[in-house]
Amino acid sequence: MSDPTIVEAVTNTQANSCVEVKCDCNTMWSLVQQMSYLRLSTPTGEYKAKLVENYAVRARRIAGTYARFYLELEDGSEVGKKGRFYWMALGAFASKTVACTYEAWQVKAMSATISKTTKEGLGKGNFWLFCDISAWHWYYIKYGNTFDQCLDSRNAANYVSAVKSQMNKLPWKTDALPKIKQMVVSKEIKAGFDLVKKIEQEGDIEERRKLQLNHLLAIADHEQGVILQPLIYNDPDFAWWVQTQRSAWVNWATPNLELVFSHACSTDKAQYKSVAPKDIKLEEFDSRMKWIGDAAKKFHRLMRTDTTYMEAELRAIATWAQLADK
Amino acid sequence: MQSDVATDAPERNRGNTVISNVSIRLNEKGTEFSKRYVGLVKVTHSTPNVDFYQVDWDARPRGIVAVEHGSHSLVIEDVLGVQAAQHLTGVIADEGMYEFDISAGMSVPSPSLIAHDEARLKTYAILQRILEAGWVPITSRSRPRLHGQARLNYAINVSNSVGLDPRYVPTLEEWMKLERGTEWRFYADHIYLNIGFERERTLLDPLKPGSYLLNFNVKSETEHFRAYVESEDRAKWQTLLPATLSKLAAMRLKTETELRTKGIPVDDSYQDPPIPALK
Repeated sequence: MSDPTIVEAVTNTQANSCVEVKCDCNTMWSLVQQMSYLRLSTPTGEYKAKLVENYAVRARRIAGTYARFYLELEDGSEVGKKGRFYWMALGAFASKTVACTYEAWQVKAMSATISKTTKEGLGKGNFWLFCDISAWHWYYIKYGNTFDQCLDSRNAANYVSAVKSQMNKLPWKTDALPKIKQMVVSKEIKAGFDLVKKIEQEGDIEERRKLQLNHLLAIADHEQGVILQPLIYNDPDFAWWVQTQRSAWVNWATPNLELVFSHACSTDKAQYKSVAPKDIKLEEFDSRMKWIGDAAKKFHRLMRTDTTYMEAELRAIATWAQLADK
Repeated sequence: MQSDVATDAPERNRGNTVISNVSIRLNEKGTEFSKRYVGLVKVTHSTPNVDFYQVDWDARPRGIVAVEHGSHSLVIEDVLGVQAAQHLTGVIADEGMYEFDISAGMSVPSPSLIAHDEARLKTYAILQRILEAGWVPITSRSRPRLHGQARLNYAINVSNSVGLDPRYVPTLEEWMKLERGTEWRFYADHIYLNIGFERERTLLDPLKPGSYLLNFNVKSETEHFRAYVESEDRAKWQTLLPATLSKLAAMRLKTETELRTKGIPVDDSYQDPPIPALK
């Protein structure tokens, strides 16, 4: 297959000469996918970068990027549309909690008691969820006029060769990409972005809030059911997961961790342990829906009634998007 | 659900005894609520300004929650959890818990599977009892005034934000077309009640069992109207409300005009709940 990003042209002496490149959907998805791994890399020279190694720093950069999407601070963002990427605000707090967990393990030398599978599982889930979800959002804000046209075309197996070769260097890629189906579109992503458009157009503030909550739940369904479940929850070797699975549905991107709505890490050591009540029956469908809804409703309530505090915390998190590796 | 209130004398959660009956009162202080059910209410300091008060029934038997509201009081059964916030700072702290969220199952055995048709009928039986307790069905002020099948069709084909008419029981086919989160909204004597449903997304075959969760949201009249303005304007909601109401009325009128031209019947007899006296 020819690569549309490689174009040959004859040089000339005229300044600012241009050559037309026709980009198809695969090219466009490659462009935005590139943005996700560059966000997690440190430049090392012209056209060179190195992936951040420290898992906590990665999680903080991810949290920072999610916060920037919510606050409309990314390239292509529109400040007047703040609130449309509502899941991103919750995602920022969730990824911050992942970072805090790694830092707590490092500081307290608890690593010996935490299995490699747990550490890798948490890092893998956070990393690939970011690769998946950030690219949908970057496409929407940068190239919104072709978003609908290319929505069905995303497939990591069809990215242009330069991006594909970079993807092949990313951690856990052999395991992850088939499990998350090469990041093809899901009905939940379609529903989530359909709601983004409705949020943008809604003139009734209270109805807009309902749309925001529905958007958040749609993206959460995608995140939980399409990405994290096949990627880490279903892993037969994931002993940690098997032991603590009861809490998985409680806590979004941070399977066994309590979500704390602050930019700071909690000083309460208990938060780094499983927080699900012992008796909870998450094999019951309605309990599962209830726990997911509880976290969403608590977040939703705080975003409505304690907005100044919540957005100040998100602004603090947003500063981590380029945090130096350790 | 029944329309009477369970007794709520102070109870203590001793040893393995599980308290299953809880009554909630809008605007009660969180600390008072906690005192009535010592050992049952979990308090979370979520932000420096807000505490959450929560009761969860993680195992069966689940809870029975009485929503106290005089002659409009309701009893909700098979409750999995009750959640409310208490502000700690500012004048809003004096309003106590001005909004409750209650999650309830459909009173079916574990693992909570129920035929979709049975879920439909159970839900509408609950709605019928709410109507019998004197709650009046309402429509969002920005949405067209529709009733019966016209409202359902609009919810399915245009936007589910119009909500549903609790007096019109949909067919199973219509029921299956409803999006999760679609609501029935009610008003009674200065209190607002919204009921929405969740449907397990992996169990959508109408011929096989599904699983459902009902979400009840009860809020004070003040909070209902305060939510009409942007979050950062909450403190001055009374000043902003008149202009906001005009804007919402214009939105409704525009949609209703469009619907009338298409021959869709608009319910002109519908009246919005009263607007509170503004300071």
